[in-house]
Amino acid sequence: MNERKEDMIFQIIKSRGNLLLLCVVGLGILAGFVTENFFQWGNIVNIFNNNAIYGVLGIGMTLIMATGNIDISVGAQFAVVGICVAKFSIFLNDQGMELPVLLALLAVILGMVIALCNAVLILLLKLPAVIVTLGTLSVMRGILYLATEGAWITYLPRWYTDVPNINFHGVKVIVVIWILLLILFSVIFRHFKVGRIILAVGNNSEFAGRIGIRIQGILLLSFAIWGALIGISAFIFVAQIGTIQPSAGNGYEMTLIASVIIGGNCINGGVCNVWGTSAGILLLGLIGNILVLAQVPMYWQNMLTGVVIISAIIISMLADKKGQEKR
Amino acid sequence: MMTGVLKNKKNEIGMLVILLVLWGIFSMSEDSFSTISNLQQISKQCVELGFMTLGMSACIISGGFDLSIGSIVGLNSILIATMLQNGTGIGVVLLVSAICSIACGALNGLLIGCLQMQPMVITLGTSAVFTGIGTVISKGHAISGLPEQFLVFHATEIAGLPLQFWLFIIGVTCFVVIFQYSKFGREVYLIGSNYDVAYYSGLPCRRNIFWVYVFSACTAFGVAVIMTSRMATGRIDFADNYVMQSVSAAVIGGISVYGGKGKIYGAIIGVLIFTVLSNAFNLLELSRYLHQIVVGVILLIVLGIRRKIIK
Repeated sequence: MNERKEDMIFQIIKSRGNLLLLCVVGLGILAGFVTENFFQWGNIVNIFNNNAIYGVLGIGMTLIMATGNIDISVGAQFAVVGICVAKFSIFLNDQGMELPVLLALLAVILGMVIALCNAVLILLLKLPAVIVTLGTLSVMRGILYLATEGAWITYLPRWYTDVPNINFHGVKVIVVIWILLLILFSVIFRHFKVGRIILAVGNNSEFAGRIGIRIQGILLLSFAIWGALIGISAFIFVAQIGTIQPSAGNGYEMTLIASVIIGGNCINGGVCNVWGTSAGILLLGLIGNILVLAQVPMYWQNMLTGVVIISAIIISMLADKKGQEKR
Repeated sequence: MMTGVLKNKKNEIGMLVILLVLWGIFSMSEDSFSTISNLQQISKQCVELGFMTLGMSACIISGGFDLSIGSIVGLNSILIATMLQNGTGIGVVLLVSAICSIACGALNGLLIGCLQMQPMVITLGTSAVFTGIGTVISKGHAISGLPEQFLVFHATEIAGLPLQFWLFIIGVTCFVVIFQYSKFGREVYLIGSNYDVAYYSGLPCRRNIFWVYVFSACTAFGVAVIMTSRMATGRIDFADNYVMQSVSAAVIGGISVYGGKGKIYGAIIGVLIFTVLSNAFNLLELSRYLHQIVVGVILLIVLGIRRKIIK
């Protein structure tokens, strides 16, 4: 009886998401003692609100990495969608129309189109996704700067910037989207055929092809979903900030890939642990929040975040290796 | 005989043709392009990207990636500039900076080689750390006001070519000797093409990969010294653009991203192509961002075409 109980505790801790959540709570308690303002409803909600964009993107990145690909052009895609949405919102406003729903739809479709371009290139050129997205990253950033001449887009219409402020006791709409997506993804990957097929493709695409899975279709599907997620988050991001510059989203790939790895996913594909990724993002966000509250100078913050990210990656990779050896 | 050589060098010859075509186009559209002073300018410009491509190629051949190379350059540039500004002797500065870059490389090497972690993720992470340390030292400023004696790479010429170009030739020779003709280099190729086979053949995989990353950090050290001296400033983001370009140059030059394949000659032609492009875009007063687009498009097109034609 006792043994079984220990087994259960082991099971709970073994799941990376739970372990990370434990870390998050632990860090939170620590932070609560160090700083005065930590344990306020506002601050805790704020941590969720601030990381929700990363959260939504992280779910998409987990999906892409589950198929065995990687996308380092996230930031550029994000910025392209953001700039287009901002321009279109101003255009709509000039026409005297107030259509946030149309705008959101446009963002999602645009994101899907761009991500599908990446996917089609990966399939046509038969190159690793790293190289293809490296190329498209440089192309997209170049086009962005060329088209905007580096200028920021400001003075967005009010009806658009009000969208993300819809909230419930401070919990913003994007957090709700994040949580819904989390539930959706974990259900799909646990109980539905599509999810299992995506994992199969990520695990061993050759075998998956042999048993009759249309690998190309699966790839296109996952990239389409990924693009939609980029679209949604860019839509909300632009509205939240109220301005957008062509360098937006720079360095997102680093944070996202780091959280995916910290979350216990395998970089070679075949695992889709969205809870782990989200917990990883929360952990990174929490550390950033604590650094701000503790009034650490800006330059030190960058370095400390880097150190935290790299040590988290190292620890999680070592832990994964240990787990594999045991098996 | 001749056709055999041609077949082996198909990729390099293709790259050379692209280079010559670009050269022709640019000399026709801009008179000042193929003047001697511009040739000297190009030979000066290609060195920094060239050195980084050497390091990057070594890592890619070993089956990895080194995305932290740019931030090692930045960190060392800051380090050199700060110490010089405080009046430290040049010899001491170079020594400290060399030790620092080797330490950075050793950190990468330890994590990737000895602990066998994913190179891309690890170097992305360490690059954040190195950049962070650099910004802490420099407090985010560019550091200028360096002593005159240090600025040798600004305008020194030997036999009509800039000093750093000769250094680059020495660097390439070292690379060729190490990676194409020594036992260590052949082992690295084997490790890159199939890690498991190399491991079970009893090759010292971990140790070799460790040294590969130290090598790439050494090239980063070279870039840091040359850039800081040429620009007479130390900046953390000096080499950020060069990282992706060096990957592109290596990959275009026929170094396989899967590791274990490719020669450095192709990569150097790749470097020349990118340098000629950026030089011509400068002369023609075209946008820097258009250049960025062209680089990306060339990368995709060349790789795609090679995939289809040369098998």
